Amino acid sequence: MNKYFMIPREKDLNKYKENIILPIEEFSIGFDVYYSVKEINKISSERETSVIINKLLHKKELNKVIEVIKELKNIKYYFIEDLGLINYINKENIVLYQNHILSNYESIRAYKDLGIKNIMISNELTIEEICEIKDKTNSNLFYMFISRNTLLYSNRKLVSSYNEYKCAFMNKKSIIKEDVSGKELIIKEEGDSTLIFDKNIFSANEVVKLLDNINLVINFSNMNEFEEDKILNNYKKDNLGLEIDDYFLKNKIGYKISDIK
Amino acid sequence: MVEVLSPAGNLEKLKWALMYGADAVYIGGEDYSLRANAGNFTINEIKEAVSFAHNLGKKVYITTNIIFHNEDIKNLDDYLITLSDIGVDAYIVSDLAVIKRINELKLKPEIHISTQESTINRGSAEFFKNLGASRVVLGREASREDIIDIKENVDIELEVFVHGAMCISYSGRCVLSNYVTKRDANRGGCAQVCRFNFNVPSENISDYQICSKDLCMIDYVSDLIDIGVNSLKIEGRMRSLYYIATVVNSYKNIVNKKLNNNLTKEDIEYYKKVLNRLSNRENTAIFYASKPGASEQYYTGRKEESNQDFLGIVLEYNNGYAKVEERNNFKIDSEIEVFSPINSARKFKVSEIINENGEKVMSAKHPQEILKIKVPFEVQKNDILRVPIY
Repeated sequence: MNKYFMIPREKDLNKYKENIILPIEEFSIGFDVYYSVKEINKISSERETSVIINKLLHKKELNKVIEVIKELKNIKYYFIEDLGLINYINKENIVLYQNHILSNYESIRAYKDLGIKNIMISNELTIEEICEIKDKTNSNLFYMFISRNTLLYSNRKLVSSYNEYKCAFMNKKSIIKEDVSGKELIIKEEGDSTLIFDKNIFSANEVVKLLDNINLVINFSNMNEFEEDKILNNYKKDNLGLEIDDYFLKNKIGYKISDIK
Repeated sequence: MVEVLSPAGNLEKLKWALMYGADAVYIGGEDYSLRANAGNFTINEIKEAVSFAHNLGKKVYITTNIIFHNEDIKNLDDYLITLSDIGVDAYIVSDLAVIKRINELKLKPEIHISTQESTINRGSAEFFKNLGASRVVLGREASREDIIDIKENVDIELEVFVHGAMCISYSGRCVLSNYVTKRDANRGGCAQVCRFNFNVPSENISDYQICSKDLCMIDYVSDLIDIGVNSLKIEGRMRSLYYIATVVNSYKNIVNKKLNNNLTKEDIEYYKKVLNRLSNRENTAIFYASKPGASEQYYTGRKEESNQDFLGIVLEYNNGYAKVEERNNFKIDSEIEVFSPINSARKFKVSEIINENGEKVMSAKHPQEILKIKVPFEVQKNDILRVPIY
């Protein structure tokens, strides 16, 4: 039986029946809403709550977040990107969420040996790879089940810089289209950083039966109200009722010279 | 001692990098390396590379820094053992699967953590130290403050990128290539989508770009040495022999002058000019002293014309004449600069060119032709002739 976790799109949390993962002010990035420590502590006293800290942390941020973690109460899981936090959080409560990185059973076993058993696997895996990981590990796996996947995380202001150079007024959240492929992406600048998301919604609903015993995360960030409603109504069904892109679930992609040429 | 670490896309480049001052080189094997399109090394070539480097008292590190998928694990042990038996000095790794296998097999080469892990704080450096890593290649986003904090708090060697192309993202945290071109960025197939052009339909913008300028840390080499950084890394396993020799030579000269307490502002300005002439994108220091902004982005398009500065290689010198292999055109009265692994750059004016048939000619215009030219000072085999830098 799958357990679902949801990253909310807005602060009306009553909509979200399952366990929730809350982005935290200053230390999470790429979400529509962020919560203060006070808000998180209030929510976590009432329902099962996890926190996502997905920024890579420079010195000052690391020092600050260590103090913030001490103030947080009743947190089920900390979804963390930066390995620098591992020594500051009880390993039982860590979900290692290194975007794009955790892609094979052997590294998941390696983390288990280090006491980190909760692992968010990469979204660029085929369903066969996911099943093999499931078979060959006994870690507590998580998977970004429905989301607009993050494709790039930059520590630069990629919109403001362009605006400054070109005297343009591009919105800090815009849709950009690659010239040749026509691929549409969402770019979003936040603070000193910028993220790029796939404009297509990823969903693994079609193969949900193969994902048994994996914790499934639904990220509502960068969704509109219509998409959110569809997902909330259909996330346990085979079909989401939305146009989705699950290319990477079904296709291996090339990388070696022989694959590419 | 601070190390100048050079890329080497093939055996020839490796030899030139070491000859021109690199203390160590990093290379990729045919598998598990993040440059699938570089001329990666076969096992026999790795053997030759290690033997060549070790005979000079220098080191060879091998990149095994892809993000592994299940299918990549199968032959990993054999590969790691073979590299250890050959005597490579370090594995550059990012995936914990590789670190696990190296530790379980008790292999001798050191573990260097790839920049793919984007290590920018003491916590993650400590994490890798505890796994047995002897060095971390810091994320290019690490600021001076971050580097000092890691150095002061974690007993691990630090390697810092000083020159070459930049990822626009935190390394490893970009799969634009996967989604736009169906090539796996984290397994060596990066198509550099960050250098593509984008439209912003809602704003009628047709020239949106996210491309970074290249990195050049020549102003900060002295500071990095004072901080205690152990290795200065140059990017570019797919760059030319001339590029490698020039960049390595520039940084090595700066390091030597710093260590000899005779580095001047004029030296830095000179080598900055040398490096600027090489680049097909503007370069600058990025992240080290301040957060990047518009000045660190590249909006003016790539210069696609090839660099014509590389004029030839010296093959031998006898009785005032250098035998050279020509690379680009020059003529009588051209001014030429000779730079070498040993001597400072020296200039001369071409007064005589003799072609392969023993005829005096006015110009050299056949690349690869073996010529004799009159040089008023002694030059050495493998010295490089180039357009003078002013």
